[in-house]
Amino acid sequence: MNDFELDVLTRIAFGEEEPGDRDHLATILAQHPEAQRELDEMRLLCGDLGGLARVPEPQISFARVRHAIETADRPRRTFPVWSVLVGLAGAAAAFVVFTSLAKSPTVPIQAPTVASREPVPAPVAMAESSPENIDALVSDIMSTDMEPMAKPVRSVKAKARVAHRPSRPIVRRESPAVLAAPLATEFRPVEDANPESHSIVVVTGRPDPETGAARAFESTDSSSIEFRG
Amino acid sequence: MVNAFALFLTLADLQTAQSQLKLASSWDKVAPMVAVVSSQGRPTGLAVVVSSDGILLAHQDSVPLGSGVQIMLSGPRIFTADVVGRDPVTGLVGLKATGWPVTGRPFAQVASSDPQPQSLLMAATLAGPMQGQAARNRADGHLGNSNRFVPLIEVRFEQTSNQVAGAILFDQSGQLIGVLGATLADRPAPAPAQKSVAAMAITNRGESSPLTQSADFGPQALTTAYALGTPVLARVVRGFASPSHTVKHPTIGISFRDENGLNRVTRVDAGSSAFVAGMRDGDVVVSVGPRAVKSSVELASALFELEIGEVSEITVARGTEKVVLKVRVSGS
Repeated sequence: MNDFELDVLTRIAFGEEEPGDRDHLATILAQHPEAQRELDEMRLLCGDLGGLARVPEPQISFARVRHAIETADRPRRTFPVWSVLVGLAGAAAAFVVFTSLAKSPTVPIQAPTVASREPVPAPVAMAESSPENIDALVSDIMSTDMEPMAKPVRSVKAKARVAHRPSRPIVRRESPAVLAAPLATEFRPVEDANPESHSIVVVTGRPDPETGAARAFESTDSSSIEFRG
Repeated sequence: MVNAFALFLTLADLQTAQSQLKLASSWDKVAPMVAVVSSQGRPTGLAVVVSSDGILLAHQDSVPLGSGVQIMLSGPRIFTADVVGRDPVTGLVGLKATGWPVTGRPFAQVASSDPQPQSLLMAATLAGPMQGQAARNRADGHLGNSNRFVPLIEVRFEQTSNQVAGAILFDQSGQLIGVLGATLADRPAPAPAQKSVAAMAITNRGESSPLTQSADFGPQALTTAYALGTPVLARVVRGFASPSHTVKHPTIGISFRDENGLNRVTRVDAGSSAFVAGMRDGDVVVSVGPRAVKSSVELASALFELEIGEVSEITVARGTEKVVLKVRVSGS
């Protein structure tokens, strides 16, 4: 393809088409078998760039971090008597599940690696912080290039701390907790995930290296998609 | 002591344990139907038994090109298998095991309808079963390799690192509902430091702060994936299980696209049923049978639902006149 043809594809993929581009597109697609793939990749790129716009502005703030640190040692939950009963019931259920899975035939269940159910709601606190040094600590957190990540905890006694860690949450591996794999949708209704439910899902021929499956993207512009039928 | 134990096993754990119990129960039902496909001693994917005479269904990514493969069923029972059919439209492959039948071996039935949104489902992968949830049961899909329209099921899993291509999807009753073929590429861009922390914290507190369409559900990113809807899956299974092991999809032999809100025919294949009926390049399709089609997706959907062999009245606008064409639907 020459530069003009690539320009036409680019304008169409990015929604900036000019009069006559649509006519040129038909010719380009007919003359260049690879043009459709190019167009798909450009749309994919366009979608990725659109995703950048949806990333919200930083919502962490000096006051927020300070508040989190100051409230880190407060109990976040009370535990009345019934919690003991719930705990015992949970223990029984977990035992049943564990024994059930242990007897499962042929292919063992490898439950996904799972983060704890009680992630700390904000990057909070370090042990032994005092009001005097909180400001300095917060300043340090806010200025670091590393990503502070709160460790998910189960116990109210667990000490949250600021740690320099990769962006993924800390997870437990090969512990009884792996049986308790929560559905992601417990955190947010599934229908909220994709507001463009009327869009067309375009399945490309290129595999996604993470999943091995073909990459797909959503398009609300059916005018640039050719169908056969 | 007891209190400490109670802290560890909360009510939430109980709920998720119940969820896992259901998963294990479903897996017990379907495990005898699922086979590991391997080639030269290396596992390449999964297949599912879909007929009593040893026909298995797999995604093309699970079956390497070339010579035959081995399939291993629970027992363990190991067979050699040959590829007896490939459907280029859907990317599904039919395998025929030699040395069948296996006495008492159950085979999967395609569900009569797509799973309802939010219903739980199970995906069999090489790494074992994993739980997911149906998000949409009728997503309009366009397959880039063939430009064909297909209805898709949208499902979501919390894992992102698993190789899920070719995963076999079952509902909780053990019925086959799909073979996973694609995942949404709209992933979050790498967020600068602090942004992702803030977003994650807010989400975990139950407030709404979507970063992207496909991630940020829970503590871990979410994979949105697609499988063929049950109508087309049933068609493929019927085709592979037939004596000829071939799959045919309805077609009239045209290409078309939206052009300012008009369904413009961009190409009519020479010799196709549309060509024979008199359709021409540049025609604008107005209706298929009694169904008015107002977009290319509606037209594609209407053509998809035609039956091979039926004669459909397709109305086109040509210049200033309307022409009704009687088109016999063929299969390809």
